[in-house]
Order: sequence, then structure tokens, then C-alpha cells
Amino acid sequence: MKGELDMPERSAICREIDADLSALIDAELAPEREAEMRAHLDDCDRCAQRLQDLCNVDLALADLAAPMVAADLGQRLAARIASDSGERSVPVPDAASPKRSRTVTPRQPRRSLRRRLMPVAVVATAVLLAIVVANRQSSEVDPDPLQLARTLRSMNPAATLPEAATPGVNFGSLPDEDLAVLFEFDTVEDLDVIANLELLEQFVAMEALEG
Amino acid sequence: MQSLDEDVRLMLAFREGDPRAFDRLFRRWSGPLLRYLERMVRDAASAEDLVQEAFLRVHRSRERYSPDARFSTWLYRIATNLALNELRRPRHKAVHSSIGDEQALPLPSRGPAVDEVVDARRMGGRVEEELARLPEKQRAALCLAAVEGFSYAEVAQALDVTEKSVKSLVHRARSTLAERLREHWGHEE
Repeated sequence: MKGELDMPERSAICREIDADLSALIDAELAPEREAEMRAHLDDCDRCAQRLQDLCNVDLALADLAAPMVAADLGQRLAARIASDSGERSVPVPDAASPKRSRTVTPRQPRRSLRRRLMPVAVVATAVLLAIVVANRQSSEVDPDPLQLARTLRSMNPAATLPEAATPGVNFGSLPDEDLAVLFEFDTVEDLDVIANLELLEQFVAMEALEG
Repeated sequence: MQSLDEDVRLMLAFREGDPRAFDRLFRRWSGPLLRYLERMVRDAASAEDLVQEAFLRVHRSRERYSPDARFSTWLYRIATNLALNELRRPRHKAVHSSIGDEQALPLPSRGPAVDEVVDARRMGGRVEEELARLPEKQRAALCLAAVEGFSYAEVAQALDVTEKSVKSLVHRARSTLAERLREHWGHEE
């Protein structure tokens, strides 16, 4: 691969180290090998920079905006299951939700998903860039990129995104907090308000320019 | 280990006839699965369809389910196969090529804060583009290991390859992305 071709002058040891850097990030190495790697990285600026570059990939991936699960995805799945098994479809009380809508609440006209997620993605990206820049510029404060990448990786994927609406659509049986998620609490809008007031103003100005 | 896995417990409950357990599994995993599938097929509508199809197959297969692996590994293996099949369909390539045009939003050009917003927007788009350029199995292996937090053994199960292959796939994917994104991170050292 291209990344490997860029290392013609590396010693045999550095090449061996390089081959295991991803496994180091992913905590897949035996403790002895990890200790060897860390000792080498402490002494080799080039390999340490290479590790930083690879960790930055994980940070960039973690920074990408996550898609929202459509409020009616569960209902559509329930309909497919009912059709597939020859059962009668479960009554769906949420008539206000458009068939293919990707909105969380059906109460008001919404901006497109991309427009709504953009400010959140921008803020997250800005934070990431600030971390990366600060990490490069400061020799006194040296956050461990490996630890950061591993922390991101260790997050339970099922816990990093809001749960979707149930395919059974038995809303009457849902606890209050689930009903709040379905009908009241709008994650994206709240993130817009809480984390992004200033940038929202910028986007209003941008949309005015575009319009 | 399996007795501690909440997902396995739910799947076993569903197999025994508890529909609420299936609801719970859907609610826990549809979001992460949609994220993974969107990165794989780069089309929101296709990804949603594949999420439904994956859970439909889980529903159909409930009586044959055996808790010899984590539920998520099984689910992502189903989803990966569906995504790879989708990527081989001619219709997907046509849809995919049109999405890039829709994503090319007009960019304003004045004000330092606006410039920062635009730069960040471009960076995110660039990462997605470069991720999409990776070979399918490298993309899948990197997303499963680096984003979804799977161990290499679990990625190997999901992709039906060896752990050694996973190690190589993940490293090649990370290396290629690092190389291609390096200039955008402004390496000046």
C-alpha cells in the first residue's frame, strides 16, 4: 500500500513495528509485544509520528456525524415482518409520521437531515481539530493519542447512539423516558441549542447568502 | 462469557417467544448498524433498507439461533453480507454516483468563522470520501474494529476471514487513510 511504500529507509525493526501499530491501537497485542512497541516508540520519533497519524484516522472516523434512525423505521420493519410471516400488521398510532420521514418528531417542518446535522458535525470537527493541533504544538501537554484512540474504540456501539423506536410500536407499554425520546426530546435540535448557538447564527447567515 | 451478554439473553428470550426482546434488540442495535451500513454503501435509503433486511433475517432465523457468538457479531455478519451484495448491484453504483453531487453544497467565502466552518465541513466530507475509496473489505474491517469496537476475532467472524487477515486489512486501511488525509491535516513538521 501507498503508506508502506513511503518508508523505504526504515530499518527492519521499524518495519516490524509499523506492521503492528494498528494492532497496538486496537489493543490486540500480547503484553510483552506491547511493551516492546512502547519502548521503541519512546526512542523513535518517526514511528511515534506514524502512530500519531494512524490514531488521527480513528479520531477523524469518530468525528463523522452519525445518522439518525428514522422514527418510523421500526414501524416499517414491523410491517415487513408481518407481511413476511403472514400476520396482521400491528396498528400504528403515529399517523403524523410520514412514510419515509427521517425526522425524530413529526411536530413541525424540519430542515433536511444533512442541514440539521451539519452544525453538530462542525462543532465536533472543530473540537477534534483543536485537540489534534494542540497535541502537535504543545510539548508540555502531551495527550496520549493511543489512549484517546483506544478510548474511542472501547465505547460500546450500542451505547453511543440513541436507541431507535421499537418495531412492535406498542407505545402504551413504553416507559416515560422512551416516550420522551419518541415524542418530545429531539436530540439533534437540543445539541444544536446547547452546543452550537454561535455557529447556528453563522449558518443562518450562510443560508441567507445561499438563498 | 455468553451468559453475561445481554444481547444473547435477549435473543434467547425472543427465540422462546418474547417479542419485546426483539424490540429491545432492534432499539439497541439499529442505530449502530445504520451507521455501519451507511459507511459501507454510502446511501442513506439503501442503508435503511439493509437495516430492515438484517433484522428481518434475525426475525426469520430466531428458531435456529445458537448463542455460540455475540449477538452483535452475528448481526454484523448478516449486515456485511447484505452490504457487499448491495455494493455489487449496478443500481447502487448509479445511486452512489449521484449522491456526491447532492453533497456539494455551495460554500460562502467571507468571515474567519465561516472559513472555519467551511474547512471543518470539507474535512468531514474528505474523510467520508477517502473511506469510501477503500476496498470493501478494508472499509468493513476498519469500521468494525475502529468505530464499532469489535475485536479482531469478532471482525474475522463477521467478515468470514482469518484474524491474521483482519490485522492486515485494518492496518492497510488505516495506513491508506492516514496517507491520503495527511495533507489535509496540515503536516508541517
